[in-house]
Amino acid sequence: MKTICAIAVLLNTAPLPLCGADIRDLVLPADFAPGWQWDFEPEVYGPDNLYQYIDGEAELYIDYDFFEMVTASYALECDESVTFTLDIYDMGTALNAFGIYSSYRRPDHDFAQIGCEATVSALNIRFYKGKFFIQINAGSTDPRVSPALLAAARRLEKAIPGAERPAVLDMLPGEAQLPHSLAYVTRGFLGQSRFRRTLRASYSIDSGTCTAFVVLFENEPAARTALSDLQATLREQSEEIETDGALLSARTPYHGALFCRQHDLLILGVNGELDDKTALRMLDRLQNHIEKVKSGVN
Amino acid sequence: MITGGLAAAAFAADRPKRILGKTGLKVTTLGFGSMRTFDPGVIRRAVEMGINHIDTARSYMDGYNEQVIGAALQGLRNRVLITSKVKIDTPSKMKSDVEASLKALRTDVIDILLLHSIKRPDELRADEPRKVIEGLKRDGLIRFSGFSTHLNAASIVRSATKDSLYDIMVVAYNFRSDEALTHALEQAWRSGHGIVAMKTQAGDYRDDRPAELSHHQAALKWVLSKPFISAAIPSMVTYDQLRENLQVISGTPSEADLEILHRYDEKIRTELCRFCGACISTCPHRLEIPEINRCLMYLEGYHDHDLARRSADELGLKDAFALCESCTSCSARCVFELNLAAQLGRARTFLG
Repeated sequence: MKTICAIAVLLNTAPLPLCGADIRDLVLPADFAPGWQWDFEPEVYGPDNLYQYIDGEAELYIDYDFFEMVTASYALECDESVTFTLDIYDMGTALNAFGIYSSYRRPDHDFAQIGCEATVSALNIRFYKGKFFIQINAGSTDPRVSPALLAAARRLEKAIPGAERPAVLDMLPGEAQLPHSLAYVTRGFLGQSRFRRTLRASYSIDSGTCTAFVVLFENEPAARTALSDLQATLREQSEEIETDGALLSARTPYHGALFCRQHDLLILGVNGELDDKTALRMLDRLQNHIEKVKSGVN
Repeated sequence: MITGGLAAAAFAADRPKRILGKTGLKVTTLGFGSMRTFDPGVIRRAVEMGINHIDTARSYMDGYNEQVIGAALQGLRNRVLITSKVKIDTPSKMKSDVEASLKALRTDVIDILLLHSIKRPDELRADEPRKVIEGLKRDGLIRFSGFSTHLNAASIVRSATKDSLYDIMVVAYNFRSDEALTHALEQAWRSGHGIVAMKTQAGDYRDDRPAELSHHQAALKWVLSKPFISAAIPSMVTYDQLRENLQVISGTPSEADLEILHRYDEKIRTELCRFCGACISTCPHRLEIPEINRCLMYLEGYHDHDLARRSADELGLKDAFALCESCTSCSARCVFELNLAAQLGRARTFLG
């Protein structure tokens, strides 16, 4: 019960209100910076019609429980071919906002402290803050666009409510975690139907790197069933599997060595090119870290 | 660099295949829609189980989806046909996007390149994108070309029929599509274009639970029962979804499947709001009925109670429900014959 309460506190999936305002209220005004105007006025999309704006990519946002979004486009008054587009997504919770942000984030991107974190380039800025995920895309390679993207991001950062990095991201240890590798996946981690809420990150180990992950379930039976399903999938694919009930280990062509252990309503795991000893040490480290985090919450 | 694949057919011998129009390509009737697929294992498994074509796009996950596919297909490239998509832009941007796609996919040729998400027929006639496509073919960087479309599909398909630049059309098509689109696709097929169906589910796309015979399977079977459809490309994220879809492709819809689809169609026709807003003026309190229906959809369609509750709270629906209950009978009317009284009643019960 303590574990369930602690996890629930960390997840903190309570909605983050927009203080009763319309999402359009977050859109920067047409003259947010000197010389700029709206290219087209704000348009709002929901899960049923987001595909009209971003085609098949809409499914990714729906996977992260996307609620609604607003898009607006800006152009230079003196040269209307110089444009950029601002997309503001209400993802419902800070964790989902981080999740969709992390699905785009790569360790080799350039980063900036905008909102909770941002990836930046001359033609694109993405950041998340509170329950919002923001994309600002240049419509032109004109050098006047890039400063405007940054100015827009900075203004939005002040306007958007919320600030805290989701606490549940601390469930994976920070030590030896490769920068910007942490991600939140809501569907099909390791191709498993039941692995629906997963935190994963890359870690530096003696032999190179590995991936550590934590899958969250509503209760212990759900975690047990999911581990059992994973075992069945591995058997079907004729992978080398060992299990002693509590620990599942396998050698897979897709994920390298895979080690999973159920811990209360979590499944902890590591995978990559690592030996048994290192894997078990990582699992123990994961488990100890989670216990520390939980006792901190309690 | 790995060369383009066309020995694919030899490895997919036990999966049903159809010819993709005049291209002569033999594609498995089940293709792999990879937009949401992060796990390369599922892609590799699909290829091992005989699927011989994969659909992606440059813009999916900002290019990362192509990288996932490129990594997944190491050693398997000659067993698979790859379709990717590029958005219409300046010629130099389109060319650099295709080069980036080739690099991410770890291949020196894309089998099928589509103009992504066409919304108007005039986009297909624009000179510059056409010249880019022709140039890419001449340079051997792509083998065949086409477009994808969701909106105004019938008119777009009609306008492209007999246009030899567009070998393949990837179109949102399912058991709820109208006769105009069906007819347009049939005509395009008769003219030699290859037709691939996407968005085959027409409703609850988020149900990725394992299932015996589900409406998902029935919907997929329905699409593949059409002779003018060479293949369907449902999204697949998990091994269960892959397995569920593979079960489908060997058969034609049975009476039981059609009954499932009929019941499903009845269910969503009478319960799925189109969010047109025409009903608002028929409600004496001018309630935001589409928004109430949206919350109900999250609950009943997406099975996401948390999202439904959050949405209802954020919209302040408690006050709306109080007004709703103050009427002794419901005068709100839906132009598509949704039973609004029943919808609002359920919304009040489950979200009030």
